[in-house]
Amino acid sequence: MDEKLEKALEFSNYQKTLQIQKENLKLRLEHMLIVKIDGNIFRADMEFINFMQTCLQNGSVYTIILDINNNPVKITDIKECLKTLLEVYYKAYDEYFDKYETLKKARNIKKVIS
Amino acid sequence: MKKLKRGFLLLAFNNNEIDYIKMACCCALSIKSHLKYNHVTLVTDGSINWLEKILSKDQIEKIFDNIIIVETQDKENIRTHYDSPWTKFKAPFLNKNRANAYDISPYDETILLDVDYLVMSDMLDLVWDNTEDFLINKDAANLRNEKFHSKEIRLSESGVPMYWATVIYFKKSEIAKLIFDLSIFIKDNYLFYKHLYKFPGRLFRNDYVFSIAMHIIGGFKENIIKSFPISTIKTMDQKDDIVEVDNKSILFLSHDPEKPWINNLVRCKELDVHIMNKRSFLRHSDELIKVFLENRNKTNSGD
Repeated sequence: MDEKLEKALEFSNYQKTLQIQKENLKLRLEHMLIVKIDGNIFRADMEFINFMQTCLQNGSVYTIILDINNNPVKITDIKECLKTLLEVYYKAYDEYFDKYETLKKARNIKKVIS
Repeated sequence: MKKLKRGFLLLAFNNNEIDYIKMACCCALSIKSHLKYNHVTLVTDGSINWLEKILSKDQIEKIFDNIIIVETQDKENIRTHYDSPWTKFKAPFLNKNRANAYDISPYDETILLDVDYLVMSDMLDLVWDNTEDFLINKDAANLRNEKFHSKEIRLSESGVPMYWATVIYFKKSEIAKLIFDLSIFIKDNYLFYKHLYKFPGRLFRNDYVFSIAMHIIGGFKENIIKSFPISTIKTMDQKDDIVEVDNKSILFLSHDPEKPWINNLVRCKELDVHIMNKRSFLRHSDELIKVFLENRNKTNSGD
């Protein structure tokens, strides 16, 4: 096989492997963002966090939000809910960021899958 | 029988080709390694003799908290398996007890798992005490994170959505009882429903049975029955292989059937995986048992 083609195919294989591992990291992030609050399951995303922050700033006594199954849930302790969401968010994204940075520096397949 | 609050139900019936009992040991230990709530009940038949032969009483007690013996219901149900793209074999598939899980389960809340499902994350801990009475997943993706072929997305080209009976959560409740009773009815009238729903093949599949039950119970509408918090089941294909395992991750060699000259190494870390290549699973079962036993959660909780 032509050397240039061989190198290109080798790089192509590396890119594919890297891409899959990045997707797996993203999947793990999605797992980690799932949070249970008062028995209901939510995703600790930025939209939810911002909304709870707004509710807190507005002095709302309670708020209604949809859980991941689209059931309406009444949240009465907004401060505690926001605290939980932020904890989950930081933990998940810190891990994601660290692992993503390590992956970015992996220059061969062996390192990508290590 | 003592009523237990929550736990896992694993059904394992050996045949001459595949050691489902050993796979159940790996699955149970993966639960005990990664989950806080990890009470496990094994449901089996005469295969119990094999379990008692390969493991000591002490080892069995470390793996299973409860064992229930039932009669195998199956007659002829032959499944074709692959072990990599190059090896093909047939084996009996003794899977007709699954629809009886509701009556068999000793738990108020049960997660029914295929024994070839390895729990590598703590995701299933979030499922307990659910607001829903029944959960089942509709989506599956391969190791390369590609969605399945269209014939695994719907029962037929214009058919109803396919649900995966691989992981099912249910509460002892009216609706769950209704679903399982209906599944038994569909199982008993399988040929009729095969013609009605036009699904392919001659193999009896619980995925088809539960997909039809979901369609009927959901008022003949789609997406009524809810999924697990992570709704996609990561699935190792029968043509993929396992390279190495540890407590938190599995390294696979993923075969792309559309580009058969390409094999990709894929590491799944802290992600649950459905292992379809049974022989590959069994080649690594001793290793899996060893690493999971070392990391087994000592708190044995079903309450």
